[in-house]
Amino acid sequence: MPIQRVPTVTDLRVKLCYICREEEHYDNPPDPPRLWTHACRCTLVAHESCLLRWIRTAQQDPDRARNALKCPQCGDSYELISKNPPTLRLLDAWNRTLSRVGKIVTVSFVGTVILCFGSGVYFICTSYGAFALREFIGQEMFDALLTDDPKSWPWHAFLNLPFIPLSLIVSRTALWNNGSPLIPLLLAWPSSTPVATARAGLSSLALLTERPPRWPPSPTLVCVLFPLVRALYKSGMARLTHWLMRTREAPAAPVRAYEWAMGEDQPGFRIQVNAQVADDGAPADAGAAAQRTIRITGASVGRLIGGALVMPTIARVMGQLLLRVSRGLPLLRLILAPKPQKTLPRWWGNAALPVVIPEDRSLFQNAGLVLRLLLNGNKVWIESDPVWWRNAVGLGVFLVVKDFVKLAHIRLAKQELESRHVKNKSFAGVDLEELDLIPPL
Amino acid sequence: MSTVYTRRLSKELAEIQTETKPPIGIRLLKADDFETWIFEIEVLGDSLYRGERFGLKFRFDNSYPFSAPAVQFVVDSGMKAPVHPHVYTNGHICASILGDDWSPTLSVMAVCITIQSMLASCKRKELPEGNDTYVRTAPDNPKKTHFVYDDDTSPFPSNRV
Repeated sequence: MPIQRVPTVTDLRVKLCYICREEEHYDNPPDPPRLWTHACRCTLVAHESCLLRWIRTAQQDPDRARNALKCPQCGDSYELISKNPPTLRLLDAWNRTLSRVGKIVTVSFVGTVILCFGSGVYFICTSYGAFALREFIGQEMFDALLTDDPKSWPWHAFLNLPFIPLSLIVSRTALWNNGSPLIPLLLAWPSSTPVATARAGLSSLALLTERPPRWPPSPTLVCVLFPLVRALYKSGMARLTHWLMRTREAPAAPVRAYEWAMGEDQPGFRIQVNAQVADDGAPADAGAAAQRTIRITGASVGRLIGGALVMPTIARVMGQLLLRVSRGLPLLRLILAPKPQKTLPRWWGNAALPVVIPEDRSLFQNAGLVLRLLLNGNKVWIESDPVWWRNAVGLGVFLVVKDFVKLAHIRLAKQELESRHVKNKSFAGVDLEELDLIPPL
Repeated sequence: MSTVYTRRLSKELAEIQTETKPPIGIRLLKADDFETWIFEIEVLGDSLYRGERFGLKFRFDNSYPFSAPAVQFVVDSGMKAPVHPHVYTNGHICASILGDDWSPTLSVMAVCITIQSMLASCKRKELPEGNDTYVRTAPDNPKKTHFVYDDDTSPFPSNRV
């Protein structure tokens, strides 16, 4: 009696490959013979080469890979036997590691590019900030607080300085109407530890002054009051404009649209004038729409940024001008309160500086001292020539004058529009026969 | 030498044309080569598509049957795709057997029958969600679209780059 044997794929009379659909009869094998496989628990059989190709194809597609090693009919798992020596596994692992490293390299490369660009922008902004600060607080104070060597700058300089150009530009746009461009330019510096003091190992607290002067006001106070003064000035200016132009005061129309028109330098100025002189003050619709559309042209962007960045220099020039004028005007001299310009003594860098603050102070006392320092500024700041003050006043004067010039410009333009007539010319050169003239008496 | 793909397709064609006739409602319109075949599909009996006839176009390349054929409804001057939640107006069909769930056990006729029964079992004639957006950006070959078959009613296609 023959031993009952479980049959395998080789025992089939007809084999049908479920992949290529080709048949093979047991008594008619092709030449060369082809390998057949039965890889699961159901009746499907296939050429081994077909099945391997199916598995390979399916594994290449991440979405189909999960089905690659499963029989599509019975769901049984295919088992692969292959040469997978440790060397191959090692190389595979090595390859995967390299891929991961490659990813890291890509990310860090992109990161480096972004970082380079960012640090370039940061560097430019900081350099400009240092320039603007020197213009604004004067060379002498700049040398005391910062010097030309960035290595000796206090830490907060690297935060404050790059913000100076940004805040100057932003404060000129409608985005940030109530912000003060003065904050990065002025707020931190009066309490900043001068370089020489820091070198002597002392903090700015050692330079705390007992009785701060009443005048000029402390920079902190100026920073706080600036938005208020500006708001008052703006509303006063608006009223004056309306009165001069004889237009009704209307609530400021919200800006409806920003319109990019780069390369087209048509100023919107005339349109605004037109809108304002249109029939008895009620702006015509087109004009009103024009007013509510801010045209951003190449020229307007340039004016905005250039105008913002030139402000510290304008402040310095105006400050110098005011100082010169004040020589003949005692009242102005009182306001500007200049001190004789001299090279600042280096006494604050002396370690033997009389320290007025208690050695072992509580946290509360400490906070109070820091607050006082922030409010008043340190001794060096207070006792030196208040260049910043006359520059700030000078800038204010400049801005007011500028506004008045602009107002005069609008008014003249308005008068030009209102006084327009069309010039009459005689019929010289026209064939008189063609004209229907009043018969002479 | 003929490849696996042409040999298998000629066998399937022989079956369709002579040995076992296709089921009622499925008719071979064109199979002149091993690149493009067109069938006519009609849903018989009680269905939303009573009296409508659709063209089902198969495109093959030598990855068949290791990878699914590109299958879509014919959309031209004479024919329209059925209004069905899994069929876009450009004829593309969101069906998992035409993508991730394809297997070599399936065949051209099996695909025809599946699509026919997909239409027969439809409860509501409506377009797929996001049809307009998909049709505007769809690639010519529906196999290049990465369909997500996560639920029965709303496919979310996205173009595979």
